[in-house]
Amino acid sequence: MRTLMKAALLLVALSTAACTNPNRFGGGNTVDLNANGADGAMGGVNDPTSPAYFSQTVGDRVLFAVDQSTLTPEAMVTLNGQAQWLLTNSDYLAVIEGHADEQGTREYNLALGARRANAVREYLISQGVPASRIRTVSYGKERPIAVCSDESCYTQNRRAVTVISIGSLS
Amino acid sequence: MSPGQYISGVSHVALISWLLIGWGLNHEPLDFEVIEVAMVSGEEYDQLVRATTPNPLPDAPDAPAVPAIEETPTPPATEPDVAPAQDTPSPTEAPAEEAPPPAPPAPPTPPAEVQENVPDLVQPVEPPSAADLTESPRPVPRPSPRIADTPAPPPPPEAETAPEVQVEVAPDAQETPEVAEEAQEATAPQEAAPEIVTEAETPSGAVETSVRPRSRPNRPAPQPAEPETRTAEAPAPANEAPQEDAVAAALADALASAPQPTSAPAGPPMTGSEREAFRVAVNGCWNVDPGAEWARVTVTVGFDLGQDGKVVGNTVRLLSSTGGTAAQAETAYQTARRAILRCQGSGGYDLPADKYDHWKEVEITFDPTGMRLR
Amino acid sequence: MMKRLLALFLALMLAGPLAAPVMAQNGPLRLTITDGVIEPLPFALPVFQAETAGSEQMAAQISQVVADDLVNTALFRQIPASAFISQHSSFAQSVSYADWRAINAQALITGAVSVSGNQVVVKFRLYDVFSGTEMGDGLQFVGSVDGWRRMAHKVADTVYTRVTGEGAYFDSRVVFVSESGPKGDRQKRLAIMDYDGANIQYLTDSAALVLAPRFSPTGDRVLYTSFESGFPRINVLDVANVGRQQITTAPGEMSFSPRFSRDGRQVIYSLSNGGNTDIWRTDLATGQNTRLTSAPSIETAPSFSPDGSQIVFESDRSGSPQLYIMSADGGEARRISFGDGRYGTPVWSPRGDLIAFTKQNAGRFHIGVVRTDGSEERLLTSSFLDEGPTWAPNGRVIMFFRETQGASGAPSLYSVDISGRNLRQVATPSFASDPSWGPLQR
Repeated sequence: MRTLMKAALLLVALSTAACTNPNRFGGGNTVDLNANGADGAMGGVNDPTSPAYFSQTVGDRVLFAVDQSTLTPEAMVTLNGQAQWLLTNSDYLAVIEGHADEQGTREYNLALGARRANAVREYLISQGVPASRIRTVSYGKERPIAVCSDESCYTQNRRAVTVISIGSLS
Repeated sequence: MSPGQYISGVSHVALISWLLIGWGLNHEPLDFEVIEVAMVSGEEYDQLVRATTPNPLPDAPDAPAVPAIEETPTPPATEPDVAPAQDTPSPTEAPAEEAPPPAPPAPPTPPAEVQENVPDLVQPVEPPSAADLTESPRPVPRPSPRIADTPAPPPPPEAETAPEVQVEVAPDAQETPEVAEEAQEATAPQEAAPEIVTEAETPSGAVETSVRPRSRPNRPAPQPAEPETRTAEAPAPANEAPQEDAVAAALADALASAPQPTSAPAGPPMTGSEREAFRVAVNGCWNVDPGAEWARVTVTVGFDLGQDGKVVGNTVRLLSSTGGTAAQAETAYQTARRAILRCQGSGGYDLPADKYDHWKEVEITFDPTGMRLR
Repeated sequence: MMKRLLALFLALMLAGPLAAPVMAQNGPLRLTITDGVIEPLPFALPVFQAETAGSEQMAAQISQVVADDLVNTALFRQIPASAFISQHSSFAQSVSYADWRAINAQALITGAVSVSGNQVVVKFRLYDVFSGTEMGDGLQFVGSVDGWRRMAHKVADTVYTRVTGEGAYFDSRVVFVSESGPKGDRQKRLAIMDYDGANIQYLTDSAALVLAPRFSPTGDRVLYTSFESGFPRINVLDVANVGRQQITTAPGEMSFSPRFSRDGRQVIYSLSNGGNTDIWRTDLATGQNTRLTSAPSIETAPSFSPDGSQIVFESDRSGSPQLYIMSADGGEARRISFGDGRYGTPVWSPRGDLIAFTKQNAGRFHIGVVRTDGSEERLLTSSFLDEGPTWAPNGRVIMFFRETQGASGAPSLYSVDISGRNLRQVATPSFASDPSWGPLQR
């Protein structure tokens, strides 16, 4: 039970790390999946089976239009790659985080993030990824990746990020 | 010595002697009420908080919450009662204390003051923390009274909001609420006005209204032409209408506009401008809070004036009210009464002495509904 | 009454064929006033007497808090002591109204404080200066030294209620989210404070993201959303009892945006499953969950009416977020927001007549109020981001949070009168958001 809990916490820590400002864990021995050229315990960018490869080369995120959860053609291309990767690397599980920009109330954005995450999940399932390997979570507007208050940042924040990890989904 | 002076003299003597003798006696024994307040002391509070804070662990989601809540240790509330306040000093209180002790809900508030409350509140805290949290022998760190326990001191200086807010102020023109401290009169409305204007129209007017009355006195001046003929109920009939007693109002109107020929002893009726001046004098003191619930209540208040233009004794009385609850009507009445009493100043209202019979008795309808913010 | 009869009588006379030449006497002078002035009511508050040696400081502090409470409503104005003609040197002393009239004080508040050991006794009287009478009886509060601020708030509450006829709210607390750290990595924890920002205490640490705490109607419990499990889940925190309860949510589901019913027995909240968010109700005692909406749209931010019969919520079923009201058991909903823009976080006023909301329009956010039938919408504030209104226990004041713009943007708490006046920041030691105003304390 304890270890299970720990695993879950680790998962959370990893997922949080992946979706937010890369600098916040600067230094230390935390593995930052987003950092350029990360070459840590989980494999380097050049290793096609590594999470780093997934996030850097395949692309771990898709963006959305204002107030939308519909996947764009570009997003589908990215997700095709994700699905391919997940099918190839079947040891990995995925948590899809839905996010929103800061224009909107907390509650609505949580719901909107849930919609976005689910849109990604359903697409991946449609591409053959087993539903049991994918979970979703919404952070609403709580974890912006870009912090300015204009469209250049909002675009980046309206996103769904696929965070992959080894192990069970609790 | 005219009869008038004679009467006046006598009544003044009576008034003065009443003030000297009667008033003092009547008002000395002011009522006094003693209330015990159940206070959560800082210590107790800390116990609560301490108990809560240190277990952010995901365990302990047990349900004791629900049952425990039902019987919240409602501390002896602010029930007016009891405690023959041994220590109330003023001798004046003595008689009053006799009165209050009807104390119906005897059980909750025994005279034992704070002691009573302290255990009440402590109990819920201690036992559960002992019982439920067996796993975590955490209650240990309870060294000093209160400041100590806050888990981590609030991120103080760098978190200072000031600089940030400043930044925001710049782009946002008139957003300087904090400054409102000393002059909130000036600042707050400023802030309010522009916003309301954007959407709803009327409310902003409220702020300006305070100015409006002042300009009024001038207005009637040009039109005193239509003077004596009718005892101008005319300017106000529209407002008279909403009165609860429509019939009476209508009749009053009828009366007013009626010929009313023979006011022999009273001298000529008041002119429109005289009435207007009086009205303006009172409404300058009528302080309306448009956000208050009583602002939906229209009250008609009557009072008598002496020949000096001052309100006679305790003649201010509520004649009728429309809208709202009894309590709201009472507040509306108190506000109107304050206006009437306050604006007479020290010299009384300035009214034409030769027309005393026309204004010795006054009825004013205070209708704030137009000012109310719905 | 007499007067009415008389009027009736006279009217009858008039109505008769012979207009009476009898009418010798004049009726009262009748006037109607529809325009008052809107200005704070001036009051005088001589520093409360210290009745025991060494209680001077306590007396001064209490006097200050009483005055601050009143002045901060903007409905009252304090007359500086330098203007006083008569110095009120003893609590028992009778009041010379003329002296207070002369400085135009409409209300006079006198008081005395004595301290013995850990006990404080505060007495006060309230006078209506121009009527020359006392408003209500004198009152005495007894409490512990630590609770002195509460006693001051009680005094102010009593004065406020007696003068305005409205419910009190100074002796109340607010639960909110205390924030720190950079915008991209905000640390959040639950905190509780007096309505005026004093006596802050923290209820959780910042290990997990916490959102939107909501007081129970009795103020003994707090609902909030926590990411402790990695997923948003609703917790009930028993302030007095330590206990914590989680509202059951199946794996894969997220729950958030909870609020208590008026009796504190039920919680309505949003549950998100498969990307769709609907409103549910749970009975805390039985754990029974009831689904209240089932539309493919987003339904969130529910709030009960004071009588518990209805629920106002936010839904984008029309294409953009708008406000709707439905029965507490679900079913048909009627829309109540019709202006331009997007509406969210509706909260029913404790008076029952208004609903406060957050509105987003043309790049600005507003806090506004609207009647429950959707009429008479009024916006009270405007800024880059105003959000999350909560009502004072008397339904007169709204607290919310305002977030500033840009990378260094951060939230802080504000309050505003429902008239749209008197916008003020509530001082907190760190960033603050998501306030929820608790009930008046007993």
